[in-house]
Amino acid sequence: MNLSFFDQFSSPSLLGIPLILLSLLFPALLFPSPGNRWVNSRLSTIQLWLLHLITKQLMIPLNKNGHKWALMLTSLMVMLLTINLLGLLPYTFTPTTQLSMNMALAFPLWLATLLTGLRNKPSASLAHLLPEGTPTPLIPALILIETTSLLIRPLALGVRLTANLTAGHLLIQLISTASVALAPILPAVSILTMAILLLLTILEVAVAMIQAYVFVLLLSLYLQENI
Amino acid sequence: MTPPEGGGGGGRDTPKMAAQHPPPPLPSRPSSREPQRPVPASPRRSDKMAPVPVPLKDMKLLDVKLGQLPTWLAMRDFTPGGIGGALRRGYERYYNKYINVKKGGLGGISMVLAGYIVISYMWSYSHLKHDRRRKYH
Repeated sequence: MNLSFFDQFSSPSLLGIPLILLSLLFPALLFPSPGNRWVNSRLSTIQLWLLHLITKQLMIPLNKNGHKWALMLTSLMVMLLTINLLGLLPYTFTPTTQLSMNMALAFPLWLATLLTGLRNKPSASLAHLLPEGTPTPLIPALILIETTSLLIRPLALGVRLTANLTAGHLLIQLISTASVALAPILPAVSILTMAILLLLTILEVAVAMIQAYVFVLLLSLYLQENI
Repeated sequence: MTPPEGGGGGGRDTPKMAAQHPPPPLPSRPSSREPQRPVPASPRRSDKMAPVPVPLKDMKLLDVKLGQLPTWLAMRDFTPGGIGGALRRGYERYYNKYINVKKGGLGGISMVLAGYIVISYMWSYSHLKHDRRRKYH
């Protein structure tokens, strides 16, 4: 029984096909590429507005060189957003609760920003390892600390997303299990937990959107340092 | 259909056109646009055009009689290209009916999401069936 709370984080497979394949391909289905008309339909207008909003938000702090990353960052944001939100539907599988997948997203992108910086302006990106005006005796220690904080970034990126999504899903399942179990014995308390469940669901929708944004925003901040 | 009003729809088109864009012509099944039932019961249709017998190969599944079903199934294209084409045709039919319309709504998307939930339930049924609230199973 205790194990079954974590059952939702293992990708079920039917006929040898894991569900994670379907959940990863599903966002591509929901965002059709617009046709050749200016004004297509309400849905494509909403989609274009959303993409424009995201791109603008991400690209404003970056300089001209960083704008090459627009396609990458916007599509990453849209993918994470869709996967996180689809994962809140009942019985569905959320690929972003898997640490391996989030690390696979975080590590190459972080490394790309780092290598871009080291290749294009090596001294400026190495200068990030030491804040200005540090007292001389502290320099070795600070360089060690800054190097660690630089190297830990991809881990933090991946773990942040995983932990947020996992914790949310676990909380929803715990509270809903509690309210179902309490319904026959203590109906009043069960109604209270159902109200909490409703509020928590709203919170989780917000978390799903915010975490997708935070992931991409942090990547763009790392890019900003290095470009 | 609403009657045309002055300047309705932002002056883009008449509201008569607002229902949907016509789907693109499908090369493999040209007769699949309208349900062509082999009953010539309606005199309104029969004076316009005689009911053309559709070859069994091009019939829709809903028009196939039960006895013809094995023959119909045998005539389907089960090569990877054929399956891909069928998937693409299905997607385009859905897309042109629900998404690529001027006044699209939540209906089309909700349908897909509901289907996704059902498929996910089927997929994880072998796990979920252990979580029933029964004592002996």
